[in-house]
Amino acid sequence: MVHALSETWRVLRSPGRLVDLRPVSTRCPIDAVTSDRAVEIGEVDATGMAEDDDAADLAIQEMVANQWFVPRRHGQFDFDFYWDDVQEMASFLEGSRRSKHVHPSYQELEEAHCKLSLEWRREVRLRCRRRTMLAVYDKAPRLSG
Amino acid sequence: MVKQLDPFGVESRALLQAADFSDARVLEIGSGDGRLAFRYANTSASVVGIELQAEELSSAQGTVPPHLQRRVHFVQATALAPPFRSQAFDIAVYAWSL
Repeated sequence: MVHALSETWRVLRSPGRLVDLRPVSTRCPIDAVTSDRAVEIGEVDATGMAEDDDAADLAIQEMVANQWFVPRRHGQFDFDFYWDDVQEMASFLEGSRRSKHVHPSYQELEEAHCKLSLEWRREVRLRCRRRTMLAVYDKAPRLSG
Repeated sequence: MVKQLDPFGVESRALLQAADFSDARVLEIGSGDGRLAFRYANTSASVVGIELQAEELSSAQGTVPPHLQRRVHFVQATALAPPFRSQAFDIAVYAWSL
């Protein structure tokens, strides 16, 4: 990753801007939602990529320590995925590199989704709220490390 | 299939606040299906997305809106050896890819 970042440094003008946007490896709630209600019915375990994220963080820290990039801003926001039903959600998550593990089971999520749809007598969608980080760096004007 | 991704545009707003994309030459690393690039390309001078996965690359290349086709390009390349001259870009975006 340090090599990739050094190549990014090369192709950026001085002072160019580097934006690092990526999901945080954490557990993500699955909510049953309508336009005015939301109830958590499960979670996606997206911690499987934590080692990769740690490696990315270390690579960035090394670039900053060696004065290739100067940190400007760091923040987080929620990135929402919406599905109409559990089958749609399962299809997406099974194909995802980061988010394969769901709790409880898809069958139990389906039961909870159906129960709330009946109780609320409305269309109930599923939402997975993914914590996402965005960090901003400027290319240092000269390499001194 | 995801029915909706980020329907309230939270990611787009965060990204547009992170850098001034106006007339900027942008390199997006790990551009996937182009979803993110299409959100900021309207004001950029040019966007080059690099992606290793052929399927994602093909999807991006096939869905460039007509009004962006002169400014947005997707190529198969890796961040380890981006095929560009030095100082070619104003902004580099790692899109879920670092």
